[in-house]
Amino acid sequence: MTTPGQRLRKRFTALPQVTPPPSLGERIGRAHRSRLRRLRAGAIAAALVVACVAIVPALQREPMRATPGVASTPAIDREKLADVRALDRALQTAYERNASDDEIAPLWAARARLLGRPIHPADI
Amino acid sequence: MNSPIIAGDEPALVRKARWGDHAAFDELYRLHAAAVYTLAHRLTGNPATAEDITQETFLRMLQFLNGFKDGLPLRPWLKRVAANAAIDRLRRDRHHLMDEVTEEQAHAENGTPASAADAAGLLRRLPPLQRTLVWLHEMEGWTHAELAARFRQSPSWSKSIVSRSLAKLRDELETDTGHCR
Repeated sequence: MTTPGQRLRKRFTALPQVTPPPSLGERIGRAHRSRLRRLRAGAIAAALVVACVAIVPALQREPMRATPGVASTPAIDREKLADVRALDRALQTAYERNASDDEIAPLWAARARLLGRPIHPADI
Repeated sequence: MNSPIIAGDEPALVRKARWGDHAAFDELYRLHAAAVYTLAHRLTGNPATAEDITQETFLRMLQFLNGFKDGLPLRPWLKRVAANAAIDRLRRDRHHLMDEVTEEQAHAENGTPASAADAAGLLRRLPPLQRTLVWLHEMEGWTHAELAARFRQSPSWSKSIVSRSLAKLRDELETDTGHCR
């Protein structure tokens, strides 16, 4: 013999499943696809933001490239420049009167010292 | 492009469905939608609300962080999510929690009283809170501690409501059986 409680549970267990409306699956699928599209758009936007945040400061930190020939040339003050010009005139005069190498060499050496670079044999 | 489905491999189906694989989603829906919808319908007694809860449950399954663990069966997880969604709705509608909804009000909410011999009708005659507690405890195996935690009440609160509701249902069943004799 079954108790009322058992009979109740038996009746509940025997209840048939309720069928969801046919459109519900499509509705859920649409909602998921729409959410996926939003997620993808959000991910792309986030990636762009991250790229901007990472790249822009890096570009700003990069040092300015030096102009060739300017930084490598030592600065010459006016007085030194005048001495160099005087030596150039002396060299020109010496070459005009066919001076010997022994006379010309000290002039080239003095000029090189003034410019702060070693004497190159081609200079002589 | 949709890839072929390996039957029984639910975690793989869930992963595919999350990334928009229609065939995987269709298969999961075919396997579990009726169970989820039926539970939501039993708890709420309302087809439109049951649809919303079913949608909420499946969308939760398709989320990337949803608490579902690979290797565990999907059906109990889905039913738990659906039940929680139904309880949350009930809690939002605070007057149900006051336990002041009378049987007469429940009849009014659910149209004409059904025959007590009809189990679905019997269930509908209970107010929403009692119906939810009775069904989850008697048919879905929720403990009083679990029900109490979810409703933020004490286990004795759950025990008391379930006990009174079952007594009421048994009385109705007995009365009806007696009338049928």
